[in-house]
Amino acid sequence: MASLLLIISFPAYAKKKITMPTARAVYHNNQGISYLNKQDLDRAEFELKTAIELSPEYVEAFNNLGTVYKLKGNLDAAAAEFSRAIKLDKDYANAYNNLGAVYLAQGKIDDAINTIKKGLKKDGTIADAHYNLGLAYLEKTKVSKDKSFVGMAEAEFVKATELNPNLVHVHKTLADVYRTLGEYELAIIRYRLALGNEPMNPDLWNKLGDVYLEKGDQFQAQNCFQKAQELSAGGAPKGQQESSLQLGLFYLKEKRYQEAINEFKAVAEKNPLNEQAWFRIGTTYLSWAEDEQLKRNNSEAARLYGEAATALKKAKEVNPQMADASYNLGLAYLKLGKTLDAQREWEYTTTIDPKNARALYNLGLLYQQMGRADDGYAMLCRFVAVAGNKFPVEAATARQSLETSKFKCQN
Amino acid sequence: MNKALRILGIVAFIIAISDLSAAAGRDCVNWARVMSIRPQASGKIVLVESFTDYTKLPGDEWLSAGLRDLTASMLSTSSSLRVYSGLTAKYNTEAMSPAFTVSGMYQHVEGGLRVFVKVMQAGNLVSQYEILSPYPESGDIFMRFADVTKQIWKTMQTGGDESALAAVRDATPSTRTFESYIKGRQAFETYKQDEMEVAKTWFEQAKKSDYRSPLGYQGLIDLLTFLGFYHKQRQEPFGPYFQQAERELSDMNRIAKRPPPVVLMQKKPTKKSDGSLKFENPFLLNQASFNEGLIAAGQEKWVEAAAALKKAVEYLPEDAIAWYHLARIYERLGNSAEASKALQKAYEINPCMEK
Repeated sequence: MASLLLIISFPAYAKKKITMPTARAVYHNNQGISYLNKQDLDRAEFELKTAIELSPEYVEAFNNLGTVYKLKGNLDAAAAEFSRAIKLDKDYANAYNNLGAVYLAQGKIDDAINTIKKGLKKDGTIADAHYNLGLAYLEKTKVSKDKSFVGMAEAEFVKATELNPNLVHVHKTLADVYRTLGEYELAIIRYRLALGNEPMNPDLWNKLGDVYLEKGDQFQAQNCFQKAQELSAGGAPKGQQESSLQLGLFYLKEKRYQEAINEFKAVAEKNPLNEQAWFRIGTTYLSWAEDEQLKRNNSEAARLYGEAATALKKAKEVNPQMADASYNLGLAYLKLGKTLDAQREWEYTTTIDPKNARALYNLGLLYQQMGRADDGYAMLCRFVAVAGNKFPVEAATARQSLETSKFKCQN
Repeated sequence: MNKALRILGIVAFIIAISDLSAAAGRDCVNWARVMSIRPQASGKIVLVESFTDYTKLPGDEWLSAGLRDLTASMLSTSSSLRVYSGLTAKYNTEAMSPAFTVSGMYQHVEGGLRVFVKVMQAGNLVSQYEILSPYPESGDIFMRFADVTKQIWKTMQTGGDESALAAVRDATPSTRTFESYIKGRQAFETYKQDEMEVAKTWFEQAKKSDYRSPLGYQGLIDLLTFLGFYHKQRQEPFGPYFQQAERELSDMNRIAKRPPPVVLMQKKPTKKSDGSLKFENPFLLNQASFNEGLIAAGQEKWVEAAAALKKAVEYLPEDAIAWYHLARIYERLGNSAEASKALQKAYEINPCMEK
C-alpha cells in the first residue's frame, strides 16, 4: 500500500478554537513539530505532551501527538489522540483525515472511508484527504470479493490532483492504478506529470519504463531505464538497484540473457539481501536454458539449469517466504532430473502459499508419476479449486484426469 | 499476596537467627538446572529455538535470544501449550520431543527488521510467517509478533488468552527497553554470581528507558528473589534481597501502568475475577510460606508448620532448605516416611548439604 499522509497542524493555520492555548503551550507544540520534522519522535512526544499539559484543550497538539504515535507504529494510541482532537473540535477536518488514515493502516477499511468522508464534509479542499480516501477505496477493492472500487479511487486521486497539481505521489499512485487497468496512455500521462515536478526521480523513470515495456514500446522503455540508471548513479543505492533491475528486465524481454544477468548480478553484488536480484538471475538462467534445450544444446542447457538452481536457492535463503523462488527452484531441479528435490521444493511452496496453482498442478502430476495416484489427485483437486481462469488448459487436463479416475475431491 | 508479603517483611530476619546449623553446608547446586526445571501441567509441547542472525550486523546479536523469548512468552499465554526455550528447553527432558518446533531468522534491512518465523511438526514445515517492521525506533514489532502468535495458535489448532497476549505485547512500546530487559535476562540466566551485577545494570537501564514498563521491575524482582533464595540455601543473610524485591514489586504496581507480562521464569499466570493477570513470583510466595512455617515451628505448632512448609515447597520445589525443615517437622510429628522423602529431596537438590 502506498504510504498514508498525516497532516501536522501548525497553530498559525488553525481555526480559532473554543479555548485558545497559552503562548507557552504554543511554543512547546512548535518545538514538537520541529522535532517531528527531524524524526526525533521521543522528543517530539515529550514536547507535545508538555503542550497538552499546559493547555488540556489544545486540539492541534492532540492531532500532532497522534501523528507521533502513528509514526512510532502505535496505532491504537494514535487513534485515541486523533479522536480526542475531534471530540474537542467536531469541525477539525485534518483530524478526521488522520484518524481515517490510522483506521486504514489498522485494516478497518469501512471505518477509514466513513471517517475521511466526514472530514471532507467539513472541508472538501484537503487534497491529502482525497488521496487517503482513494487509497481506502483501493484497499476495499482488494478485500471485496465481487465489487471493484477502483473507479471511486481514481475519482478521488483525480480530485486530489485538481486541488493540488504538484502532488507527485498522487500522480504516481494514479498512474499505478491506470497501469493496473491497462490504461497505458493515461498512466504515461500521469508519470510524465509526476516527472514534471521531480524530473530527477529515478523511481519515476523506472515506472515509466515499465509502462512502455508493457505497452510494447521497447525503445522508449530502454531510454527510460537508462535515464533512471544515469540519475541513480552516485545516488541512493536502492534507486541504483531498482534501475539495474528494470534494465535487466528489459534485456530479458529482448532475450539478451547475458546482459540481463550482468545487470541483476551487479545488484546482487551490491546488496546480497536483494532477493529480487537473485530471483531474476535464476529465472533468466531458466529462460536461457529452455532456449538452449530447444536448440538441442543439452549440455549447455544443463549447465544453465544448474546456475538457475544456485541463484534461486540463494533467493529462497534470503527470503524463505518467496513462493516464486521455491517454485522455480523445483522447476530447475526437475529439469536437472532431481525429481525428489523438485517434489520437496513444490511441497515447500504449497506450505507457504497453499494457493500456488502452478506448484499444486506440478506436484499433482509428479505424485502420479511417482505412483502416488491418490496424493496426485488430491493435489489436482486443490489446483482446480484455485486455478480460476488463469490456467485454462491445465485446469481442463486436471478435470479430465479427475473424471477418468472417478476421484472424489473433498470440499 | 499482600498478606504474604507483610509476613515476609516482618519475619525475613528470623531466618538469620534460626537454628540451621544441621542444614548448613557448601553449595554444589547446579543453579541453571534447578532454576530451569519447571514441568508444566498439560498441553502440546512446543520448543522455541533461538533465531538465526542472517545479516550479522554488530548490535543485533541480542535479537537472537530476544525474538526467541518474545515468541515463547507470547505462545505461552495459551494454556493448551507447554512452551520451552533456552534453559528450560535444555533442562526439561520433555522438550526433547516437542509436538511443534518454532524457529526463525532475522535480517536487518533498510529501515527495519525482517523476520521469518517457521513452525515445524515432525521435521516438516507446517507454516511460515514474514514480519517486516520498522526497527529500532518503533514498537510495531511487538504488535506483529502478537498477530503471528495468533496465527501460530491456529496452526497448532489451539487458542490462547488474548488479554494475557496483549499484556506481553504491550509490556513496552520501546525496543530499547526490551533489549535491556533481554540482555539482563541473558546475564541473569547464567545464574553465576559475578553476572548478577551485569543483569542488575541492564534491568535498571530497562526501568530508566521506560519507567512505565513492568519489564525492568520484573527483571529486578526475579533477580533479587533468586539472590535471596541463593543466599538462603547457603545459610547466608538473605532477608534484604526479599525486602528489596518487595520494594520493586510495590514500585511496579504503583508506577508501571501496564499489566505485567508472562515470563518464562513464572508459572502459568492465573486470572483474577476482573480478567487481569495476577502476579505470582514463586520465590516471594515460597518465602512467605517458609517464614510462616518457621514461626509456627517456633510456637511448636507442628501441624501448621508442616502445612506452611509443604506450601513453600509447592511454590518452589527447588528449595532444599525448606525440604530439610519439612523433614525435621515430620520427624517431630512422628511421620518418618514423609520425613525421609523430604530429606531425600533436599539432598537431591543440594548433594553437598551436610547430613
